[in-house]
Amino acid sequence: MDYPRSNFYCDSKPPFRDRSGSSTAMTTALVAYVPTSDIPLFPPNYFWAGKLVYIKHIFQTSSFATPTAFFVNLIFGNNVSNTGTGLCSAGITWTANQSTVQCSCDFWIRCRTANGPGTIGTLFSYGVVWLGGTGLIPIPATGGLSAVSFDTSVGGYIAPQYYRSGSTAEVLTHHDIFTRAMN
Amino acid sequence: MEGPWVSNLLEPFNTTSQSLITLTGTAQALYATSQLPNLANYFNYAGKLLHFRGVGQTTSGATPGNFALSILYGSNANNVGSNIVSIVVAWPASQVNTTFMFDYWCRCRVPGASGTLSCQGFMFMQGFGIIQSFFSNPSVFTPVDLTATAYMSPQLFRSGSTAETVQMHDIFFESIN
Repeated sequence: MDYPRSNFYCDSKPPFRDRSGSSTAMTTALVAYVPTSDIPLFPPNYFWAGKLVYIKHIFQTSSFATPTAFFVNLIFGNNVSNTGTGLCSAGITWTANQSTVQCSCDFWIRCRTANGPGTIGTLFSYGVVWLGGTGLIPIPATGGLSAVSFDTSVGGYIAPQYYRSGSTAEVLTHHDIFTRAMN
Repeated sequence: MEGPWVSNLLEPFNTTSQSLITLTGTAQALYATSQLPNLANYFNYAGKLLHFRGVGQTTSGATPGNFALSILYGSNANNVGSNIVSIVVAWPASQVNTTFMFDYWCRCRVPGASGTLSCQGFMFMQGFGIIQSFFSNPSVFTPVDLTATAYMSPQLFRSGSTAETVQMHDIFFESIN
C-alpha cells in the first residue's frame, strides 16, 4: 500500500459466499439468480464521484437445442427479478447443447456524479461475460457505453440478472460472487 | 487483511469520458494527463507491481490496417516516451463503436534513475477476442528514469488509411503491493 501517498485501499465487502445455489431454469425474462443474502447492501449515499466497485460472479450453465442468445444485465435495486435500474447489459449468441459449462461475469461500476440536482447521481458500468463453450464478449459489446442516473438517497443491491431468448430448458447454477470496493 | 501489502487505487479517479480521437499513423495518447497518476518515485523498490485497466470504444473504416496499442512511460505527449509494451494486430474493417478494454501489470525490477520495468497484459475487443502482449525484449528490461515525473500512457495508432476513431471512457490504476 502506498500510504501516505494514498488511503484508498481496496477491500472486500461481506457477506462472503460459502455455498452454491441450486440449478434453476432460465426463462425469457430477467431472473435474479444471486440470493440477496450473498451480496452487500449499498447504503444511501455510498457512492461519491470517482468511487469504483468491482463484482465477479461465477456460475454454470447448460444450454440445449435452441438457446438462441444469453443475456446479462447488471441491476441496481432490491435484487428482485426484472426490477431495478439497468446499469449495463449484453447478449451473446449461445452455442447449443453445452452441458454444465463454467461461466463468469466481471463488472466495474464507477460513480461519475453523486451530487447532481436533487439526489441524482450517475453510474458508469461495464464488464465482460464469459460463457464456457461459447466465448466471451464485453458488456456492452457495442454502442451502449454510457452513464446511468440513479437516486443517491436510496440504497440497494447491485447484482447481475440473466435470461435466454430461446425456447428450450436452459439452466443456470449460481456458485460464487464477490464484491470489492476498489477505493 | 493479512499484512501491510494491501492494494489501493491511485488518484486521480476518473469521472469523465475522454474526447473522441481520430487516429493517424502516429501514436496518440488516449487519456488526458489529468486522468493519469504521476508515477515519480512510485516504483521505489524491486517487486513493486502496478495494475491498470482501461475501457473505451472504437470505430474502424474500410481499410484500418493494423490496430497498434502501446504503453509509453513518459510525459503522456503523443508518441513520446519509453515503449514498455505493445500489441499490433490486424483490425477488422467497418466495426462501429465496438467496446475495447486493456489490462496491464507492470513490475519494477530495478528502481531508481536507471530503473527497469517489465510489463505484460492483454487487450480485448468485441470481434477480436483477447490478444496478449509480447513478453520479450525490449519490453522486459526497458531502462527508464523512475524518479522523475512520468505517466503510464496508453497510446494508439492505426496503419491503414481511413478515419478510425477511439474514445476512452474509464481507467484505473491499482497498486498491487
